This record gives sequence, structure tokens and C-alpha cells, in this order.
Amino acid sequence: MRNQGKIGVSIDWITIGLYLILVLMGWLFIYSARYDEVLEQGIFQLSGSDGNSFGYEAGKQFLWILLCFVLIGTILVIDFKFYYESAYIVYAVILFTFLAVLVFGTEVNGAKSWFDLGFVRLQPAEFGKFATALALARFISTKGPKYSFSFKDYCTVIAKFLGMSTQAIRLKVLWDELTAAGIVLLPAVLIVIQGDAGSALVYGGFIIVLYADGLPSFVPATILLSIAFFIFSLLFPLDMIFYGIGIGVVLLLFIIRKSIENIIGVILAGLFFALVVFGSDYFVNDILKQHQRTRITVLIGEEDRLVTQINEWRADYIAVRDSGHVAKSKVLKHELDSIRQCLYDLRGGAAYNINNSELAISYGGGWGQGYREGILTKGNHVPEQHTDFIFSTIGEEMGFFGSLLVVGLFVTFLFRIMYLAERQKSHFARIYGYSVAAIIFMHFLINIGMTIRLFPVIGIPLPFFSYGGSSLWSFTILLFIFLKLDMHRGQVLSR
Amino acid sequence: MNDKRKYIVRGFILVVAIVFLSRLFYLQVLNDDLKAKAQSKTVKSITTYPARGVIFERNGKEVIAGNKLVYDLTVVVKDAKKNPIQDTAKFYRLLGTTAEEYLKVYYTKTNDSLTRDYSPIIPMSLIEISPQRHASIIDKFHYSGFGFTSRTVRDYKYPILANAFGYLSKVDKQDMIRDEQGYYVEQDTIGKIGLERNYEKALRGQKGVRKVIKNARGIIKKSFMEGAQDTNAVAGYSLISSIDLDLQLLGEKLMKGKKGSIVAIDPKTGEILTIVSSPSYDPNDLVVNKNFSKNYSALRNDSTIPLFDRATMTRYPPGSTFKPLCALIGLQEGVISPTNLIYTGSCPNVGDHAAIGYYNVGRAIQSSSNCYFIQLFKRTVQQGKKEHWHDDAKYGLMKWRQHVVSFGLGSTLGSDISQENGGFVPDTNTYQRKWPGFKWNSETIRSLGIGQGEMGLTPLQMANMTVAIANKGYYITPHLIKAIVTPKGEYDRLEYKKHVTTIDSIHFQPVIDGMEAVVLNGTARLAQIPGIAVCGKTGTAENPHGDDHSLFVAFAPKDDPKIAVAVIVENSGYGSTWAAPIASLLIERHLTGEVKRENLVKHVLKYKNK
Repeated sequence: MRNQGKIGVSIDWITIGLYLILVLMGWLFIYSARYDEVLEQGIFQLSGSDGNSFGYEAGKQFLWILLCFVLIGTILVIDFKFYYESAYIVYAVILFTFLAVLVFGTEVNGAKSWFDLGFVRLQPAEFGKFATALALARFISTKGPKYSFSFKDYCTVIAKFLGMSTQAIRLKVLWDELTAAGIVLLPAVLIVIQGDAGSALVYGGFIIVLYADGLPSFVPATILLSIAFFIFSLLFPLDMIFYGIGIGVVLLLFIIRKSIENIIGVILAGLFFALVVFGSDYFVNDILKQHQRTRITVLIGEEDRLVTQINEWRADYIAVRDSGHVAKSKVLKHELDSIRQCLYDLRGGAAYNINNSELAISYGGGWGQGYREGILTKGNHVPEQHTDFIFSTIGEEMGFFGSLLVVGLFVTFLFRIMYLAERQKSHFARIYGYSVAAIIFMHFLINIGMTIRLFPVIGIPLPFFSYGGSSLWSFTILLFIFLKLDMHRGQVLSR
Repeated sequence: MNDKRKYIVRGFILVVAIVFLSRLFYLQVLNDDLKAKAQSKTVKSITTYPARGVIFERNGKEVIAGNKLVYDLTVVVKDAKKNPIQDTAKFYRLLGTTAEEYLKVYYTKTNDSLTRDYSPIIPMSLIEISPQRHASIIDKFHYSGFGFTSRTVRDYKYPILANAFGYLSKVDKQDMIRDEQGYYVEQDTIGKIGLERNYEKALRGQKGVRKVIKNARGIIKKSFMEGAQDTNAVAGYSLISSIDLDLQLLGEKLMKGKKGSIVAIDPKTGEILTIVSSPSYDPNDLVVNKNFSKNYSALRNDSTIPLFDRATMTRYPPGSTFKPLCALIGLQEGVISPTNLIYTGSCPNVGDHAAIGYYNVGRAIQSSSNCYFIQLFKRTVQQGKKEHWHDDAKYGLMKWRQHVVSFGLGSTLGSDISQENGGFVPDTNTYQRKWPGFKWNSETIRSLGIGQGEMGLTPLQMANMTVAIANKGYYITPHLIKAIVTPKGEYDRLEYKKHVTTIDSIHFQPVIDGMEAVVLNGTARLAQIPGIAVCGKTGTAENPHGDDHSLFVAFAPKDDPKIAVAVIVENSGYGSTWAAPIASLLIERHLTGEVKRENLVKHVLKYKNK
């Protein structure tokens, strides 16, 4: 307890202030999203007179917020060295719960990723984020910054493997990098196995951390380009993309300095992206389930395409039917019915949430319909509007002004955390701080992106806003461990 | 930490934020389509229907076409399924329906995939319940998910005036196309024919709109914008008709079982006092309810065509009732004078019942001398103004026709009865077409002079022609509605146009005298009413489809006409036998307020058409 005296002195009150604003706004909008004129629930009320607790999520969220203060107190009281010392243990324990949930967990919405404790349901995946951040920070800070293994080095490895180069390479560095990647990928893979692919996507945020810490630019560049090629594979015919890649490779071979590493690099890149395109197509059409596929295709105008096609096919069908081809018209009718079914499925499934969320946000206009006055919100038109789709409620009730406020708050918050991370002397705290920013950013990116039809529907919460204990606590723990480390930035943690 | 990368990461976050805000700005500030879509998704307009205006008899005291409440049984399928009905027999008994009938409606409404509106959680109308039944079962009818809603339909106290007033029905495609203001939506009712159609805009009132917010399940949550965009329904205007209810009831009674028509008009105002078309139907059978289609198709297929308004749509040859007008034309054209005598021994094959002798115009009318009027017609048409016989006849016919048309014949009168037929008065083209290249003359077309041949007048036109004679040269557009009453009680009297005929008023007296003589000691002595000077003219119209039609036109009293009547009883022979007593009874009822000649009533009631 020797650090107790310093808490008030050096904790970052600006971050705490921003944290409180976000949590408070979240609570108020959960109340608004769940408010019902028949129930007339109070914001602190936990259940109705008949014992029904459905609809009283705002009251529960208030409880979760109170519990957060207990968590915060605990985090701040624990010795700051503990987080460094026990990083691997925490990581191991959390990974163990990941495995345990696969055996003992409860299935919710198709994902076996919850522990049902009766009064509350916990999602271990939420807590994997800070554990992974701790473990990654410890690993990198122990090994030191050695990301000298560039794209060229990889090419050299291959050239050497093919017997075309004799340059020396440092395999130890490559091994360390792969270990770092493994620390991030292991929990992500387990989460995918749990059936919650959306949450796993968040772990992609660690790339930002590694990049900021010196990872060669070609890694994030490759990832961004892969995403671009993934989108191309949805929008354009595959052979056209393959020709494009081929032409690009040939052109680059003319431009670059002719060395064996460069030539291998260009050809490798070409093959890699061709593989990405091929893989994307295979992934979307053969691996994803129908409802998952439509989550993606709905973004690129699947609904309009189906409607147009139905109109064309109906015209064909009517023409054939009227001309008296009974057998042929039956076949056409069958095809028409099946494509109609696709449209109904789409409208009832992936398109439903996204269409209504978009409508609600649009209906907010410049200044919004007013708190608790959103008519789409009031009519519960957007499913999950108090959890994953809470931004649609804010958008409808506070309009563009509210959107600006929320986006602005998040950017400020992220910049503040990054600023704090950069003032750390300890490499561990710096990496951890960046991880906090990266994870929150990924949630912000995917969640808001999905409510405004820029991202597929991926069910992850908006940090501090979305209803739910697990998510609120995990972000609070994530943040306050960092604030605790920040309080002790004067004391060198390791090395 | 690498300084450059610090900024690249921050830049990346800013780019994401800017992309998000641009998208949000587009959605929230620039895009209006989505807002409209959002509103149509959540805001439901509930239409409130005003009570339709009612139609009064001429004094505005008694309602002829009123409104009544009917109830619809409604069901919320989800709730009904939760607690299935135990005693279904009792359920059907209370509703006065059968399992078969009920289940047919139920399954059609819940299973039809075309009924997009179907929802298991919204009340849905099933079957109609009369107010009496509703009142008697409301205390006993407790079934989960079931309830009642009310609406108004037309209600008629008397089974009269069905064709003149017309009926309402659901709007069809044609109505929707004609509806330029876009007032009607599917399932709305509209006046299809008769007064209901003609005065649709006044009668229907103005629908009201209540905007409500509904939730994703279609359940209404609250009013939209605290009702700022709501409008109240405005009740329809009521109409004061010109119908004399007692006279109408008498007319309908006398025509029961007969085919034909009665039209009685007040000559001074053009108000139609009575309009009967027989056979007809009970207007209560054609109110918009569950029986509408069934009843309608039954009436459509009835061989006596009860849906056809004979009073305004059938063209009858006027026969001898046309003779007074021919006499007036002769006098106006100067081809005869009141004292001129014409010898009637010179007409072979005209079926003349009048004795051969020398007739002046009054006596000719009194005895309905066919020979006199054929000679008069030839004189009128063949005035020798043109060299060739044929050209002269053509010129004369058009001149004759001009006078006829001025009595409102040959084209619609412009009454407020929507289905009015214009009748037919031949012109030169008629005969050019009938006998191409043939040089016809007045002899060829002589039957026009006794109201036969190609002539066709509706009963309304015959009555109106009688009005013009009674008024000595003018008539006012005949009409059924004399005033419109706003919901606030303002009385708006409608103005109708006065039409002057081409006959100078001095020529009427001898003709009217002749018509009086018809009743006093001519062909229509059955029409005499003690103490009242009735002027009339019988007609027996030859009819290619069967027995002759019995016709009678009359007005009374002679010096101050208060009523003009035309009566047609189809296929019943001489005009004096049936049509004249009917007209006489109506005149008596109208002028004295009662019918004293019960025997005559009994006599008239005896005759029934096959």
C-alpha cells in the first residue's frame, strides 16, 4: 500500500473525465433505447412490479457502472509491478477460460462464448483483450525493439531457400516476430472456434500496436492491400482481377532495380495477392454460411441486385407463361420463387438490422428527434439497439450533432491514450497503452461502421456505450491498468 | 517511439473519423429519401371516415337515405390462438353464423399470401354483425382476441327510390382513374349511380387522418408529433330532395307489380315530386356489407332488370301524348288556327278511333284523332317553302324538330340524375340513313305526327314536356335536390335554369282547353277528380316488343298548375285504362292531401304485369 498516497497526484484526470462522459452517455442512451411508455421504467429501476426484468437494462447498467468503481479501486490499489510480473499468468488463465467456455459455456446467438452465472452472464472473450495486451507488451518489452526483419529479408530467406542467395539472415529475429504474432493469434483463433468471429477481428488491432512500435511497414501495407483485394473480389469478376495483378507484376519488374531479391519480391507479392483474391472468393462462397455471406453482400447492393433480377425474371416468366409453354414456365416460376426467397431472407436477416439502423440514423437529421423521442427507437425497429446498435439510437435522437459529439469524443479519447502511451519510459507500459488505444479503436471502427453500412454486421459492442457488464468491465480494466501504469511512469519497470 | 509512425497512426484514426462523419453527414443532413422511408415505416396514417350526408324528403323533416351503424367482428389471431374457444357451437350461435361460413372467411383472411396487411397481432375484421345482435350479445361475448369495431352504412326507412338515389359500392379501378385528387384508396366506398354518384363530393365529406407511430410489430405506440399533422373528419353535407314522401309512397304502391314508371314534377320549380321506376329493389339490399356482391349479382341477373332506371333511361314512343305538342307547333307555324277545321275522312290505315268528321284543334286533342294530327303534321313539315317535295320536307322537318327540341326532348335535360338518357327525336339524317337515296317526304314520315315511328322519350322527358305546356312555354330544369345543408346547418338553395320554348304563350290556351276536354268527356274520363280541373292526354304507344304501352300525361289545376305527371304502364294496352287513373290518384293526393277514391286504388292495384 505504499503507492496509495500518489494516486490522487499523478492519475490522468482528463482520461478519467472522458471515461466518465462516455459511460454516462452510454447509460442515458441505454435508458432511452429501452424506455417504454407502457412500463414507464425509472432509470435506476431493476425490474417491474411483476418481477419482470426485461426492459430494465438501464437500471442494471447502473449497477454494472457501480461495480466498475469497485474494479477501478482494486486495480489502483494493486502494486503496479504486478501487471508486468503476472502478465503471462493472467494470459494463461484467460486462455484456460477460453477453453473452459467451449466445454462449460452457454450458447447465445450461435456463439458458445458465455458463462452463465445466474445473475449475470460473462463473456471471457471480452477479458482476453487486456490479457493479450499485457502478454504482448511483456514479450516485446523483454525482447526489445528488433523489427529489422523487413520485406527484403523475407525475400532473402526465400532466395536462400531456393539457393539463389548467400546472404546471412537472423532467424532469431524472425522467430521472435512469429512468437509475438502467436500471442495475438492464439486467443483470436480460440474465439473463432467459440463461434464469435466478430470479436476475433478486434485482435487485428494489435497490428497497429506493432506498427507503431517499429514493425516494417510492409506488414500493415500487405494487410490493407489484402482487404482491398478482398473487396475487389466481391465487386469484379475474378479473371479480370487476375489479369490486373499480372499486368501490375510485369510493369513492376520493368521499373524495379534488377536484383534477385527484388524480382522474387515482386513475383511473391503478385502470387500472394492472387491467392488472397482466390481465397476471398472461396471464403465468401464456400466457407461462409448463407446468413454470414449476406452480411457482406448486403453492403455492395445485394438487395437492389435481387430486386432488379426479380423484375427481369418476372417479365420473362410472364412472357413464357402467356405464350403457353407450361413446362418452361414452371421452371421459371420455380427459379423466380427461389430468388424471391433470397430477397425475403435478406430483408429478414442481415439487411433488416442494417436497413433500419441506417433509417434511424438518417431520421435523426441535423439535431435529432430529441432524447427519448426517436420514433424508430421507440418502435424497437432496430434490433439490439441498446447493445451493439446503440449508435443508431444516438444518431436518431441527437442527429448529426450527436454523431459528431460521439465521434469527436472517441477521437479525443484515443489521442489522449496515445499521448499517455508515448510519454511512458517503460517499453512495457508504452506497448500496453498503445494496445488500449488500438482495441478501443477497432471496436469504434467496426461498430459504428456497421451501423452506417460501411462494414458488415459484426456483433461487437461500442466501448462504454453498449449495454452489458462483460464489455463495460473489460474496457474499464483495460483502461485503468494503463492509468495505473501511467501513475508510476517515473519508476522504471523493467530493463 | 518512431515519430513519423505516431502521426501515421493518428492520421489513420482521423481518416476513419472523417469517413464516418462524411457518411453520417450524407445520411443525416443530405439524404431526404431515407427520412421519408423511415417515416413511412414508422408513421401510420389512420383514416377516420366521416358520416355520409343524409338525404331528406322535400320538407327536410324525414330522412329517406340515412346512415346506420354496423359492427364487424375483429380478431387478433395471436391472442385468439392463446386461448382457443371451447364451446364453438355457442360462439357461432351468438354470432348468428355457421362454422362453415365463419371458417371460410377466417382462413381466406389469414392464409391468403396476397393480403400483405395480414398480421397476427393487429385486429382484423371478419364478419359483420347487426347493431341489434351486437347489443344482445355484447354482455355474453367474451372470447380472448375477439372484439368489435363499428362503421356506418346507408339505411333506408322505406324500400323506395332505389334507382333514382342509386347506391354505394367499393371503389373500382375506373373510379381510381377518374379520381384526380387522389381522394380514394382501395376499400373506400363511392356513390356508383344516381344521386349518390352525382352528389358524391357533397355527401362524402372529408376524411380525417390520425398519424400514429407504430413499432416494429405494427402495434401503435402513440400519436405522431403530438397530433400536429392530424386532421378531423368533416361530416358530409346533407341534401334536401324535392321528393314528396307521401306521393312517392303512393306512386310506388300503385306501380307495385307493374312495369313502368311515374314522374311527377312541380311545374313552377322543376322539382321532381315523385319518380318511380318499376320493378325496382329494396335499396337496403345494396348497402355496402357482406351481402352486397351476392345481392348485386342476383339483381344483375334478374330478367325484369330492376337495376335499370326506367324513369330516366327507357325511351318510350310517346304515342298520342305527343299530340298536344304537335298542335302547338302547328299553331306557332301558322299552318292552322284554333278555329280551323280539318276533315278526317281522308286517312286510310291510321287506326283512328275517333269518328270521321270536321275537327278543330281542341276537339282533335279531345278525341285523339290520328287523321287530324297526320294532316297537321304534313302541313307543318310540307309548307311549300322549297321547290322539291323532298327538300321541302327536309326543311320542314328540321323546323318542326327545332320546336320539339325546345321542350327538352332529344337530349338530356341536365337533371341531377346521373344516368339520364336523352331520348331520341329524328332529324333529316335519320331518314337519309334509313332510306339512302330515297326522296322521302312528309307522307313517308307521317307517323311522327302521332308520336310513333322513330320517336323516343323518357318518362322524365314526357313529364317535363307536360310541365312546359302547363307553364305555357317554359320549364325549369327538373331536379331531385333542391338544397344542400352543411353540417353547421346552413341552407344552400340550389338554382336551376329556366328554359323557354319556341312556342309563344298565346298558342297554349286552345291546346290546354283540349287537354281539359280529354279528361272531362274525352278519352280519359277515369282521370276526373271532382272539383279539380285536370288537363291530360292519353297515349297508347305501339311497341315492337309486345303489347302496347299505356301512357298518360296530365297537369292540374288547369289555371294554376301545381303538378305535372307522366305515367307509363308497359304492355297494358289503352292509356286510359291504367295510366290515367294512376296519374289522377297522384294529382288528387298532391292537391287535396288525401285519396278519397279507394275503389279506384283497388282497381289500379288489380293490374299486374306478367
